[in-house]
Amino acid sequence: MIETKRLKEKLAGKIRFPEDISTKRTLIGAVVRSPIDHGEIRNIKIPEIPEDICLITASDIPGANKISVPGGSMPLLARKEVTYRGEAVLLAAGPDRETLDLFLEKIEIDYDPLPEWKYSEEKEETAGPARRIIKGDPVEALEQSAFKVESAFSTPLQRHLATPLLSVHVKTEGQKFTISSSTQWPTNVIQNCSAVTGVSRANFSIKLNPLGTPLDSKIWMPSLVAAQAALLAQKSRKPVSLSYSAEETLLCSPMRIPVRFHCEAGLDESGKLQALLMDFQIDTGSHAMLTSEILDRICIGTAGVYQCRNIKVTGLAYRSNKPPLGAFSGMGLSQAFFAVESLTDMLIARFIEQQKKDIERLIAEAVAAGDDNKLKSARTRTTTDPAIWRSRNFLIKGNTYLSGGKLMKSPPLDTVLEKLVSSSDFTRKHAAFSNALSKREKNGGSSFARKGIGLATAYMGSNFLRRERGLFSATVIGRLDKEGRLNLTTSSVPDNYALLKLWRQSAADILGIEESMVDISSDEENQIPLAGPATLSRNITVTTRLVSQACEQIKKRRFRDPLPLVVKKTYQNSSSRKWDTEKFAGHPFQELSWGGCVVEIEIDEMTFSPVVRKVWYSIDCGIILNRDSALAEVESETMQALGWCFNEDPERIRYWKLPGIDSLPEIHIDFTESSSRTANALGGIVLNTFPAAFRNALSQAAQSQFTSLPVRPEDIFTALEDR
Amino acid sequence: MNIICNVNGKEVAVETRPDKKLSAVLRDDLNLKGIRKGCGTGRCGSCLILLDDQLVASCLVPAFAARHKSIVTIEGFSQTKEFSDIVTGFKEAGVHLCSYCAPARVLSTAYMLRKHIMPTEEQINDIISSVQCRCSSFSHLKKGIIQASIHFSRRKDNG
Amino acid sequence: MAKLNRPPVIYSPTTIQDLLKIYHLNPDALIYAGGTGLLSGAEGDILHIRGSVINIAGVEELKKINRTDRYLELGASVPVSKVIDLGKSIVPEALYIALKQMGPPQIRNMATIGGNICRQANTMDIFPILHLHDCQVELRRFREYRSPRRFLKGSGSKWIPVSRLIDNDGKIIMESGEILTRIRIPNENWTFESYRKIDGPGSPLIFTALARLDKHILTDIRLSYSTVREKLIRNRDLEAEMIGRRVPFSGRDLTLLEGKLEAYFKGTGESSFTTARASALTIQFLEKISEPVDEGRV
Ligand SMILES: Cc1cc2nc3c(=O)[nH]c(=O)nc-3n(C[C@H](O)[C@H](O)[C@H](O)COP(=O)(O)OP(=O)(O)OC[C@H]3O[C@@H](n4cnc5c(N)ncnc54)[C@H](O)[C@@H]3O)c2cc1C
Repeated sequence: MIETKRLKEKLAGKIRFPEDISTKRTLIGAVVRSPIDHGEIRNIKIPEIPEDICLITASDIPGANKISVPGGSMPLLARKEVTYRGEAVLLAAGPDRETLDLFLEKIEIDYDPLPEWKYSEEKEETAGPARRIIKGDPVEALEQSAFKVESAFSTPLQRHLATPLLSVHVKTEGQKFTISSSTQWPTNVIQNCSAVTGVSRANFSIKLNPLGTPLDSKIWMPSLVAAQAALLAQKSRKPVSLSYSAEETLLCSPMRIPVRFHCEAGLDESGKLQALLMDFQIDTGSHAMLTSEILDRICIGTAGVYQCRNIKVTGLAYRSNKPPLGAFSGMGLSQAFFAVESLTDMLIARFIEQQKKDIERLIAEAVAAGDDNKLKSARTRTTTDPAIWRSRNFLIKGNTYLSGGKLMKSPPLDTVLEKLVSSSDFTRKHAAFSNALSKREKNGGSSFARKGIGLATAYMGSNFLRRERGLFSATVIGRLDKEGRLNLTTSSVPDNYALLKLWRQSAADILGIEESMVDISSDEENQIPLAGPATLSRNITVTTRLVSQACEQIKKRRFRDPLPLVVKKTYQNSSSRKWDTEKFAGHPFQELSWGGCVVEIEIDEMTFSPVVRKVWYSIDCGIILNRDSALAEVESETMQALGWCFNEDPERIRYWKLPGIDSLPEIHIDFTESSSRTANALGGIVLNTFPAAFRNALSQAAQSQFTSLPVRPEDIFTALEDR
Repeated sequence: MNIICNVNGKEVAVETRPDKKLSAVLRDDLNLKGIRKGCGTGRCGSCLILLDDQLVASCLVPAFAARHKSIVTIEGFSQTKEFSDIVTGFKEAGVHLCSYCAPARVLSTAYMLRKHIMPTEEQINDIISSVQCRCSSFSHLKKGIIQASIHFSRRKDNG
Repeated sequence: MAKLNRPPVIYSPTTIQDLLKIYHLNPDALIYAGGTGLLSGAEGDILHIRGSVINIAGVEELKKINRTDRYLELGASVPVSKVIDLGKSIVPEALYIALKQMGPPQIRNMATIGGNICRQANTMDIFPILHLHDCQVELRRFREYRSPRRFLKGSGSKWIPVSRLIDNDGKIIMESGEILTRIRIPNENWTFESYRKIDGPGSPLIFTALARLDKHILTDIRLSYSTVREKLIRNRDLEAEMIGRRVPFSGRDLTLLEGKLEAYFKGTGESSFTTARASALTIQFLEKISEPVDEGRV
């Protein structure tokens, strides 16, 4: 019932966002931004400031002029150098937009343009974090390999939508600040507001507005916007509403980080993976925010899901004159798996090619020798295929991660793959499409449609690698009052009624109370000192667990201790799965989910566009908390992935279209709920598997290896022309 | 400029610049916050309203073009029985929408169902394209719209 | 930061006479039809419109739809969605398909036919269709006649083929103070009409085609292509070469035609990618008209 009421409110547009809040006294905030990509601020000419206008420059900031996350920071206002178009230079607030704009028009800022940052090894200013990990002797192993493949791959940046816009409302009462924000990371907002204003954390409280579908666009940016507004509120002693326009939101939002890979791999005679050498560079934008986390995740991901004794991974991040990049759901694993799963397919193709030649040779020899038995045995020999090869090379219990930690049990990859292959009929189709295409090329006719089928397998790791409290931990506070009402306070409240219902249900079940007696609220009073953001499935995996732990403890104590009873549960680094960021050693992920994807594609030979006809997934992400939401999530992530692979143009800031319902493929999903008794990450599995499966299918259909995303119709045309 | 129009059934007069976006007039001057601030190009659909019964993007409509017109926003529409039909339909189909785009989805669905009470697949797909958001699953939405259409026509049949 | 201007002066005529007169006196005013083609800026709460605006939405005459047995006549301010609502049996097939694909529904409700024709855009969705259908458009402007005896005021009206609306560079040419008021689409029986707009990633291409058959003889065919570089590519020689031929085309004929088309396209400076797309669409159309004709359609 609570859900129906909330659903009604939501559909009736009654849910409020920060930009909806306004009072008579509220000042409107604005940001003056750099119009150039890179330059030095030569001079700022400010006219006389009217009484009703509040203006802040970098030197007016009482606290630190920066926004920080564990492992990274960016300036709040540019002091001397601007490093991306749209970087904030000045803050201002006024009674209304018109008065404010009239004043701002009179401000003159002179810039000396500087050359755009181009990455090169010698230039220190463009250097970001880097990693180099070597396991075994990959160079020697590659040398010894019977089959080798070398290829470059690249993945593009992906933009967030403008909506919901970045906005915040800050209210002040004496030294106290109340911040209304749509943020994935409330404790980071408070931390940064406190740091820039120089006011103690205890003076800040936060009201959380819903997030929309942030997909990580609202990890650190809301902290920046909130800190800007807090400064204006502090100086003007008035409430401030700061709402970025669509243009500003698009300009400053982080984006999926672009990566360039150079990869080499080798197989032995029998097809076993011998060596894997993965070298990559990521563009972190002007400042590295969560870049080291993303870099490490890519390092781990590029090692793939296969046994290999000799691996070398080198990765580095370089700075460019784009806004700080990186936050887009998945945080690096999707790029990594695109590269390694594409490379794997190329390797397998080489191996199959050799197997075919061997068979032809054996047949020819048998014919020449007139040996019927030999001929028979040669004719019955089969080649491998991408599914069979994978199943022979999957990681198993006892293998180690790139970082050294041992896999404590075998991943459910075999089951995942088996289901996937049987539901999609992969093996038969792969062979049939190959045959049809080679016949077509031989005959020069076009009676067979250009079809391809591709496969990819991967995992998704929930939560962060870095185990700092401010990133990794989460807290739930349960309070049972005298009337038997339970209040659960969490560090963030998801905009997902299915999940809220689940928490409420689970609490009600444990305590044997009515669901309507359970309230869930966000931590508005700042009781939770530090917690990480709502991302990487942390709400589903971590908070769900904390809710039941808190309730179990209340259940135990409720007839012993006086009411109200307060229990606090915090999620911390587990002792059995330690991770050492410094040394890049240990167990990278607390929980993993596993999945595979098969994509069937046909090339439209009139438009040279890939038409994704059908997609199959097989996913093991532990318990499925809500099937409907899970199916919906897989579908919407598929469309995101399709946008990244084909439809979205990363160069166009404004007028690009998301893939629409007309490009929605038929999707089949198989959930395996066997491997874990907990709910693990579902978000991310699609983006980690679909792109490579898409590429692999398209490469089969065009009989040409594509190596960069997005694949453009022009690329497909060129590939077909070249044949 | 003084703009007189009918908003959600009531005559209103607003003093505003003629070139102010109607979406801003409705949000700021009339406090109708169910209209979201969106892309400003008419594409994302966050600011959809019914203007003389036609679905339009209010961010592209200047205030002067709304003179003497009738406007229905989600605030007005949510008072109707049709709104309940859509809520029920969406709920039955397990449609999950984010709070930002949800009102626009409802209004565009209503517009389409008023025009085509038994919509074809093409008509459903078309109306889905009126809102761009990364939150929803198209197939759930489609199911939701079909469910809503059943409730719509059932209520019409019952008078 | 949005630069604030003085608010524009708005004129809201209700008759064509008033409209023409106001425009005559304010030739720099912006004609505001549906307002969807103005791209007046996403930033801020104010649309960036300068000077004065003539809102033509109140002119009822411009919203009229008229049908005779010779033509379908659309007022310039008829919204795209209203034309779609007329249905397939009234609106020529290619136009119907094109209008249905134009933007999301909220845009089609606002956008007008006249606005679509008059917008200086890169690729034009409906212009090529009107062109192939030999449509006429009416342009009107205010005119004063001075005769010795009396002082006459009236409006100058002229009907021109739609093709004369654009110059060689594909720019819309209208005289100062001139308004597009009506569009006349002849009622002609085409056996086949085709419209394809490829506007996903990659360079966009619009292909429009009409063909008429009489007892397996191709009596008329018209083909047009719009790309980012060229608003309208039409090769009448190629059309003439096909007219009078018997369908189905033989495989050899198709290959020959394809070769000629490709050569022509390359000559216009289009990329081989666009050429390949255009040629594939054309061949598909020619194959379609070669299929056994459904008698009911002729
Ligand atoms: C999200 C979105 C999607 C779109 N998708 C498409 C699409 O798929 N295909 C497409 O073709 N267009 C598209 N457009 C562009 C635009 O909507 C159309 O071209 C539309 O038909 C313009 O009509 P309008 O009535 O809105 O014109 P307006 O914007 O009012 O006017 C456009 C221009 O024409 C002039 N004008 C208008 N009427 C007359 C007249 N009677 N006489 C003289 N001059 C006149 C105006 O002064 C102005 O310069 C899209 C726009 C948006 C915002």
